[in-house]
Amino acid sequence: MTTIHLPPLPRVAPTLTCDPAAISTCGADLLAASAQVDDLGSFVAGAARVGDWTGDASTAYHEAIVPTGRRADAMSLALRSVAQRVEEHAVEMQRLLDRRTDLEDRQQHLAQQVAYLRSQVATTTEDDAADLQADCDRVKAQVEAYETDLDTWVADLAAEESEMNQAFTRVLSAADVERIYGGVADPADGALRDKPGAGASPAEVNAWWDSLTHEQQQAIIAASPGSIGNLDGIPAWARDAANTVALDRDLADYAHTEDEGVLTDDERTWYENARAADEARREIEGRVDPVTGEPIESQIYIYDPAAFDGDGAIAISAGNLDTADNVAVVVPGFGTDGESAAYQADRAATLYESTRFLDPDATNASMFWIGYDAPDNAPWDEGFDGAGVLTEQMAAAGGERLADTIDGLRDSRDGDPAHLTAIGHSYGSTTTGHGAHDHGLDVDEIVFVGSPGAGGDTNNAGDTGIDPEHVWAGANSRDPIADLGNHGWVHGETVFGAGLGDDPAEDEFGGNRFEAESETRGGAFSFGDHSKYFDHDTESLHNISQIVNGNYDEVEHADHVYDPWWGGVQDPEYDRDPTSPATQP
Amino acid sequence: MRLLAGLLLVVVVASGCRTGDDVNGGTGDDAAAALEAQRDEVRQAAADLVTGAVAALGGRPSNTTGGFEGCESTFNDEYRTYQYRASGRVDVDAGAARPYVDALASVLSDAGFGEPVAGGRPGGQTLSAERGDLSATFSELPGQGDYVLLTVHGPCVEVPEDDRDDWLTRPDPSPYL
Repeated sequence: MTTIHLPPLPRVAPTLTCDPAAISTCGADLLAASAQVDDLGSFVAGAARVGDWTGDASTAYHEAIVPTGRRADAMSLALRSVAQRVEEHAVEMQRLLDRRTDLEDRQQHLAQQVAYLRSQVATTTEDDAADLQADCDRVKAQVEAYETDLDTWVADLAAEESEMNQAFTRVLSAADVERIYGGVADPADGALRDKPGAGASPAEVNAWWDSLTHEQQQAIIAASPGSIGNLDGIPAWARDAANTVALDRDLADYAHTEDEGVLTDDERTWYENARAADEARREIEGRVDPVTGEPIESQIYIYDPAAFDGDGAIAISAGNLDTADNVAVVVPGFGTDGESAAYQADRAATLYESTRFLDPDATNASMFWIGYDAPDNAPWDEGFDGAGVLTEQMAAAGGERLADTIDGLRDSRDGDPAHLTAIGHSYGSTTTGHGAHDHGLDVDEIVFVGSPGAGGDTNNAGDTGIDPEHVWAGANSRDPIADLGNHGWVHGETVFGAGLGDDPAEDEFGGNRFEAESETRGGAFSFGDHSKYFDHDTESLHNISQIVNGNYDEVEHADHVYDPWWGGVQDPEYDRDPTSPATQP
Repeated sequence: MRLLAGLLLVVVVASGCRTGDDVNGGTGDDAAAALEAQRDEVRQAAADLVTGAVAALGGRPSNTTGGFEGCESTFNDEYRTYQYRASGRVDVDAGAARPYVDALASVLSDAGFGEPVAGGRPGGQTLSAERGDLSATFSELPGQGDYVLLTVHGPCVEVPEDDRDDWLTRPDPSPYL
């Protein structure tokens, strides 16, 4: 009788319950706290010193604050160290979770094989015994390899938890912090001394950033997020990290100040902008990539809650701006300020979803760009900003800023250029037109949607500085704003010098017009149709997405608006039945 | 000065012009009740379908989340209507046979959905069905990996103007499964 040596059952991997996202959030909070404490150190070293105050009291005061500043600097470094270790911990725990998933799959597979082999023992014949033993030996070797990997995993988990624990315990007391970090120079300080001055080009900024060590870069992100967060030429990942620190710090600061009842009116406005930015990033991260089914990554590219007299500057992308094949920058128009960030984020996420859905093999990033002072209300409502929509002044200033942002995106991806599209909506199209004409937008495609005019000097597609074949216009026939642009020979500009420039959907402009009607369009002019260009399952979003993806053959072209000398403006799209192409699963 | 177009814009905003196509009127309470009920129904359906997909194809579920999303925008840049949309992913067992969606028709039927309809999407294929106002779609993308995706959503509900921003930013982070 032959004896069969069966393989052992593989052990089950220990349960591991952990939430790397929550750990990462904890790390971000600690980094924000580090920045807050660093602010105290900077305050003591700067504004807290009273230059024109002399005498014994002054001497006593200044001697007294020195240790406070020193302790703050040391505490900031300690917090930063722990925060960065917590971030590493989040990444490592995710790796360990992934490894455990793999081990679990292997264990189940092996357990099934062992069970099968055991079931064969009773029925196998002497003739088959050798083959069965060979199978048992093969599975036994696999079980042993699995057990070794399981032991390694358990050891790695224990080591990671121990190292994380040590990172906390080594700075548990103030004495420990002072002993380790007291008087230690912040690596950010030296690096910032070499930072290019104001007016430096994005390429110069990028070269400086690339010259820093990883430690220096991380130190600047934590200690001085404002110095790089909105600086063109810095890669998006670093801007996002710095702006995340700044945003989390502001949210904590303003919440505390509000609780204390000492929030000023300006601070309240900035706090509202900070909360809007927070809602915007959450809006994007709460959405799901239609190809992977996983949450969409967000990057905070611009965060300045006090910009433009409190209107705020915020730009956040859905997708990774540093690596995406196709990058779209959406320039919003009238009525936009920092508090519009959540809706604009929704629009960016919707465009991201559509571009990914329509071309799952390409990677994408779509960024809303509240990077200029847009006319954001009626003059008799909240102030005089709205009056800006009467003129092109704000569009011209915004166009310059837009060109800087585009240059920054380009230079931070030197050698790995994205297919880059600027999309101007409403007054944002006037801004985009100015950016293109006045400053030469370094983009591959320009898309005007719902345009009241492409800017006074952008008289045809060629004036944008890019190939007219890559200049596009979407105009819903019911959108009254899109009907405001100059048409034909005789118009507001020729008669009164009035208007925001030429209609980019007109034949004389010389660009491509794409279909942009909506199945829910109004019967005649309907202002609701001015805001539907980015809604899912619309002609407009479908065509914009195909342009962003560079799939020109998939774009549904429309006949241009024209203005014959014998009659009024004609729109061939008016009588066409709209369609609803799918832009999401 | 290029005044004319801008002046028209400002007048339009000040006059409070609005789109006139109502999908579903009602008070804020009515809309809230409808969307809350939709949320419960969509999440339960999604949980049933993901559980059924795991039973049919093996593997494990992930990213079983949902949230309120805008449907139709209106002037000036806000959503007039909202719906609840849930999604999920199932990484199938190595032994599962493509097309995965072939094994999911019975999952939809068992969950009370009507006759499944096969369709396509860029890079993949779909299987969709409806149950009352709910729509559910399974999809797979062979070039992307060994998984199926699920989306379930309800109808678009009109929300009163004062409540629109709240629905846009309303968080719903807890997984349905």
